[in-house]
Amino acid sequence: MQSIYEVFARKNHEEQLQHVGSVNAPNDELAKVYAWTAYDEESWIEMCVVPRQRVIPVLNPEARPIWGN
Amino acid sequence: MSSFKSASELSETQRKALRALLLALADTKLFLGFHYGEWTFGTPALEACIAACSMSQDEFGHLRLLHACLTTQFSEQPQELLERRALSTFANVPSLDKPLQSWSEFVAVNLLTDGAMTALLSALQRSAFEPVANFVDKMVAEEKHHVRNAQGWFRSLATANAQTQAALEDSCRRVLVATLEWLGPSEQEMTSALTDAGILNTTWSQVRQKFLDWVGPLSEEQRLDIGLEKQNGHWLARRALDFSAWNPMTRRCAATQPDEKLLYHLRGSKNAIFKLGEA
Repeated sequence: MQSIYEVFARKNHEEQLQHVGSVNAPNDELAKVYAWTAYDEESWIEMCVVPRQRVIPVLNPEARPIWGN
Repeated sequence: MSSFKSASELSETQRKALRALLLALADTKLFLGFHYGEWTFGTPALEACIAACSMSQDEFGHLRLLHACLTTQFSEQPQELLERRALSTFANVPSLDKPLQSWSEFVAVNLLTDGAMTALLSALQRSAFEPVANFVDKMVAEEKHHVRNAQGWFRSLATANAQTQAALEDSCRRVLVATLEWLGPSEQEMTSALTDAGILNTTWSQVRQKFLDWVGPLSEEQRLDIGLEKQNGHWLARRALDFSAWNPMTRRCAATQPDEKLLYHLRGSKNAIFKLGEA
């Protein structure tokens, strides 16, 4: 069972975490690997993944967030 | 304990032992890089092919560092190490001799063969041999992603269904035997010389045990029988290998060697005329 994970990262401490993309993975462990290998074009100092289904929309609860895929 | 800035400061025994170990590690990384690269296509998921490709790049990067060390410290020639050696002299883990036939075999190699290399790299951290100590931390850091990928897929296949579980169990059993063959007997004259000199930060027996004590609980957690059993708090192979004919230079028990066609492909022999500047 695959889930979509959103990937967030930043290049330095002054920068805020930014959404850089998403990956499909069957579990958290592989989501971390896939995020690291798919979005390794920058020297990130921080990267994290969040299951898309755990993201709670604030402004429009009925609408699904648009992440680009 | 004193440190060594170059191989010229080592004794003949230490020099011979370190050269053999670094070459065996380099040979294994050469074939790991090749197989991971081959699995850039045909993986069960798009993200898995990106991960395989990334791990391949890591392995070839490590190979370059090891070949550079063998060149500067042991007067080896990279072209000789890759292009002109007899097949029978390759000291890679035998699980990599042939193409990986299935995704479960890929996962088994990723977990067990690559995992054993990480155990060895950990034993080289803070090495008294400075040229190795200078690059090994970078390798260990990159290998963490390989371990994570292997564990993630191991757990996924172990729990998906009976078919994937059986395939994984079968692949792991075969790859484990090949990996333990490469690791060799607990006590080895050559590696003991490296431990005594502080070039390895632990005994070879502890390198093997650290690897087995990492793999054992993983297989137990997923209720997979990959040929290990627990005795007195430690994990051991259920069937001990016969190391009476073990060759410390090739790290093999028998006269096995990489597949000729595989090496032909890996060396780029078909495109030999385009290797500009080579004699």
